[in-house]
Amino acid sequence: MRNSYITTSVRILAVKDEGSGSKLFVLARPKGFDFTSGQFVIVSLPGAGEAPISICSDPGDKKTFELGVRRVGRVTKVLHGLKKGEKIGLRGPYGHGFPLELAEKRNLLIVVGGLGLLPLRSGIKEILKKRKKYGKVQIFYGAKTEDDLLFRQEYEQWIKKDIDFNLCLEKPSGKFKLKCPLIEGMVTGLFDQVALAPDPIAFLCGPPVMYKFVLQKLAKAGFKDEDIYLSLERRMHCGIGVCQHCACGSKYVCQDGPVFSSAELKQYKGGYNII
Amino acid sequence: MFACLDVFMTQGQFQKFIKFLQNDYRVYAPRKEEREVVIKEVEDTKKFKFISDLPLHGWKRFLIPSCHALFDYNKEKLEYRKPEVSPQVLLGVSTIDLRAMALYNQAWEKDPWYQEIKKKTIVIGQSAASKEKYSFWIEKFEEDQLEHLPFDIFVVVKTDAKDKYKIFTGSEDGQRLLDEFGYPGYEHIDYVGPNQEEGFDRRMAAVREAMKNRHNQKIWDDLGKRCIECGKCTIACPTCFCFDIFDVPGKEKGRGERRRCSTACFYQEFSEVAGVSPEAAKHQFLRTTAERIFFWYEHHFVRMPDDYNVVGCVGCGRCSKVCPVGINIFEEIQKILKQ
Repeated sequence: MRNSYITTSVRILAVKDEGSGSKLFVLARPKGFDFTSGQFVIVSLPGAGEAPISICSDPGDKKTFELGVRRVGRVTKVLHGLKKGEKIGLRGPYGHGFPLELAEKRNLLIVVGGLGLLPLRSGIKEILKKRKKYGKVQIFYGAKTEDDLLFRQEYEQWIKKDIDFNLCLEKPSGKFKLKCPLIEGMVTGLFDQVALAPDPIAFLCGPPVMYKFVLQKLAKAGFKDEDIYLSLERRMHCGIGVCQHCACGSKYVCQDGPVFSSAELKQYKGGYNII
Repeated sequence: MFACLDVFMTQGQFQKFIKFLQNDYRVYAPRKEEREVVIKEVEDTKKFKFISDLPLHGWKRFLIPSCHALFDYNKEKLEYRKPEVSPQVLLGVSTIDLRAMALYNQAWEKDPWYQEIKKKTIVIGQSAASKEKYSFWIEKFEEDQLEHLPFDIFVVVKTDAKDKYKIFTGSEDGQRLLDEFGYPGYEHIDYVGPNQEEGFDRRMAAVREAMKNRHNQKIWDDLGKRCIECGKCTIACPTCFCFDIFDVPGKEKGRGERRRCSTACFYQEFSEVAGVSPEAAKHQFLRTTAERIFFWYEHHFVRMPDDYNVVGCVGCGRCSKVCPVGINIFEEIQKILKQ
């Protein structure tokens, strides 16, 4: 009988240091492994355990895929100790990603904070590959300091391909020469400084506290709930909608999410906060 | 064969049938012990009787072990570990617990370990009604309920003649066993699904509707003050099935087991995720007792019906019986319905 908990062995091709104390793992892509931006895999390191990690690379890269991982606990600690050539276990991909196809007909605002740029980088890379297919793309990226910035070397390339990239740092030090608009403060401050493209949809990814304030700003700017998509995080064990850890109302973050529209989330009238 | 007349098995014949089953199966049945009704292996078949009292802990541990190995691992590779269960007969399962099994069969439908255990399990239901004071909304037994209950064999105990049993089968396994034993007087009923034509029990449907659309925070705040998050209700409940998966290293380096164990949504770490570093504060999505107990009720009255089209509460009342602070689920349901 088909077993959803069996993992595939995947080889680490490269490990690169990234901002926010994270590492980027470049992995050999198994045959038949396809994903969309916003989906995640469950990384399996027997002895340590399993952890859900978002995929952050271009779905179109045929030979490799990438996982950006910060060291925060038991599994990620072991993962950070692994080197090129070593193997990890993996199952997935799971969940529903960001609906990139909606950005073909509408302008797109991406708002990210914390490690939120990781799953959205997957979508950004897809957009860059076929830039003409999409409308205006604006990015609002909030981080604490320059050391927290993810994929710093790629911003110039994005801006060259007509991405309106805007950065916001809580405590800038001027450490790096960044060739993009930069303000000091919280990411919500960018809404007051940068003119939004007309009638955009929004893709958000970041910690719960960021969602709270950004959703307020989006409402003020006239966004409709059904035009806003955000990615939720939860503790996961099975990844297939059985163990109940990631249940929200009658939905599972592992199966129906992790990306939900704000309209969907607002329908919930139960006894706890989903965001 | 016996087209017009009802045929019955006598208690004596049935006791011989149990002995026959014991050649190939371990037979478990409820039995009254000093303080409680427990489920144990049948020892003296000549003393076997169906009892109407509900066993305290139900049958779920026979179908899903509370803690078992899924895989053996060697470096990053996993090897499937077959569940260690011998062929077993679950004898004397009440209609309440059969309804819980209908839900389990759906929830674990794609699980290789559950299916492996189920293949080795024979379920014999019985009609004797529970006299448990905590059970609620249990209808009197009627034969037309049988097509909505999953069983291999079902025994209808005649109320006017307690040693006369009318035998039904619900599966090929049930028929095969009775044929091999030499009792042809059974009637076969095909399982058509858990729900009557009219849909869910209308009272359970009303609870779902009330919880989904007319949330009253006061009920949960009050429960949050009383509940001590012990999780006894989740152990006693025949439909609870939350689990954790974790690794246990063995003696040899790089080898060990990946285990699955039951857990409870009341426990602190159930909804916990890592902070920004190993030392940083972790984040919980269920932060208060009120939120946790709401989540538990929501699973049974809203999410299970939404997920599986089966009511998630079978009305056994075991949660009320074991609760150390006296929370009575039937009373709480009345409050939910009144809101």
